[in-house]
Amino acid sequence: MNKKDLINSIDISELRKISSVIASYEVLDNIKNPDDMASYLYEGGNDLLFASNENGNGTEEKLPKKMWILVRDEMNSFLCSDDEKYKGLWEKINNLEKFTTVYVVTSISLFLCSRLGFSESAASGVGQFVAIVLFFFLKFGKEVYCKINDK
Amino acid sequence: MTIIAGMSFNDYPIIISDLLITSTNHNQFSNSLIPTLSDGEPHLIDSKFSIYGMMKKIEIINENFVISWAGNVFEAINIIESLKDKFENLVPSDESILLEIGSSKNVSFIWSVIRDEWPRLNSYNAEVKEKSIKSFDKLIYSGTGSEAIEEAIDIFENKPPVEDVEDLVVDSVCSCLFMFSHLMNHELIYKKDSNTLKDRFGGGYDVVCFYDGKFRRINNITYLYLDASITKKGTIKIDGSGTLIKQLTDDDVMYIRKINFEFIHSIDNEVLATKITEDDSYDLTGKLSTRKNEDKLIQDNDLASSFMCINVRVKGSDKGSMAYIHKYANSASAAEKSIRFTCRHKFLAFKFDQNYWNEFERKILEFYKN
Repeated sequence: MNKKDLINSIDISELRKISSVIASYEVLDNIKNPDDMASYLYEGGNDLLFASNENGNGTEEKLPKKMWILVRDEMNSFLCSDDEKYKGLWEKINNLEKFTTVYVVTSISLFLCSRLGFSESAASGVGQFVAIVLFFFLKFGKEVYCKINDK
Repeated sequence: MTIIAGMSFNDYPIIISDLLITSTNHNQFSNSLIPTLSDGEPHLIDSKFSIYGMMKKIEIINENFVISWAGNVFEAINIIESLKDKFENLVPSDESILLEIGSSKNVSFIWSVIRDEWPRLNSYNAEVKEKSIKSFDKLIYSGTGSEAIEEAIDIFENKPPVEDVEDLVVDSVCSCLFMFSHLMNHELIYKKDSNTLKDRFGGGYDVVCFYDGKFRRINNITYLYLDASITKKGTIKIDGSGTLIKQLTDDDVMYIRKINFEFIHSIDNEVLATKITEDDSYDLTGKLSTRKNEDKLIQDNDLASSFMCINVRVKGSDKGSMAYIHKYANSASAAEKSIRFTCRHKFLAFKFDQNYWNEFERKILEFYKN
């Protein structure tokens, strides 16, 4: 599998289920890049929006901003370079039993947890950030996304 | 917070909702984000939340399927998008709707589906309540605005019958507009201290009903709030200040124009001249409306509507306000048969139809006779 196959296998409606803030792209005018979107998930970022049915629902604890920065940088490197350090991740992806969005995001998240020193229980949070990056990668296309995020 | 409700009157389903979106962020957005508040008025309701903007919370998925939502905006929108993808051309079963909704505790939904020509109301989330009361076959509601629905049940049961209404759907819609008219009146008076905003709902309202074989948004409504006094001669004199809010939905975009005005003088009882003190426009596309639109989105010559909801507050009376609601074939007919608005430069003139004025005055005097 290569990056093109990987991207072709990702379903945006599945990404929405992994990271609900992806809806912000449709409903807010100020979501231009992954950083804007991720800011609704991390501490000190934007606050969530409500038409709530009870007090405080949806106000679960936020993720550390540092986690976003680390995941974003790793994802950019994974998607925009051919770095050997992701060889193991490609092998994992190629060996997936089912090639679905959830399986792909879970594999990437578990790999990043291990690589970045997060416990496996953090995989759900990491997965939300992974979904955000994949969403913009799909929206912009590899060339544009990688050009914008070229450090 | 929010208010959403589904009700059926003799098997005619109606879905209603407010438009308000709130955030816990209270350091920004101080301009009038909703029509009931003005620039410079506090948008921070308490230390925990502030007004963020407005959004439609009722989605007509297809001619036979409508759904309203409450809760976490992003989660709800993802589910709505998924429902649109799956059921744009299908009449879904309740089970398949629930499957798409999933198991989140952060959202509530109320929906109506017409299956085999039979309307069904259903809902998701434990907070939803059901009532069987006079006037309704079924009433389901959710959100912290639920209290307002409970209070409104009295309004529905005790309201005077709507006159000149040809069918039940119009009567049902008028009942909802009656409630909205009073809730917005309260919000216009008490602003950030209103019970609606304190309970985190309001800003404006939306209603979708089933008629002529499909679900349709009530797309042409004028709310007019007037101050009045009863003269020694026992006639009505309109004076003080007031507000006109027109809501027009076209191609699924809701346009709102709010005009605040102060009376200058009455030319005679039926012709009034006012000075515009505020003129704001909003557009609610699929996106969240977080600021006013600089353009006038509803034309000066289109301020009357099919549904004319006049709310009168008589000074010195503790009886509250009186809502006077009529349905017309279209805006032009409303202008001809009720009130013609003429808007020029910074002035707004009202010309009441003579018959309309006579009946309007009679109703006010009757309402406030004690």
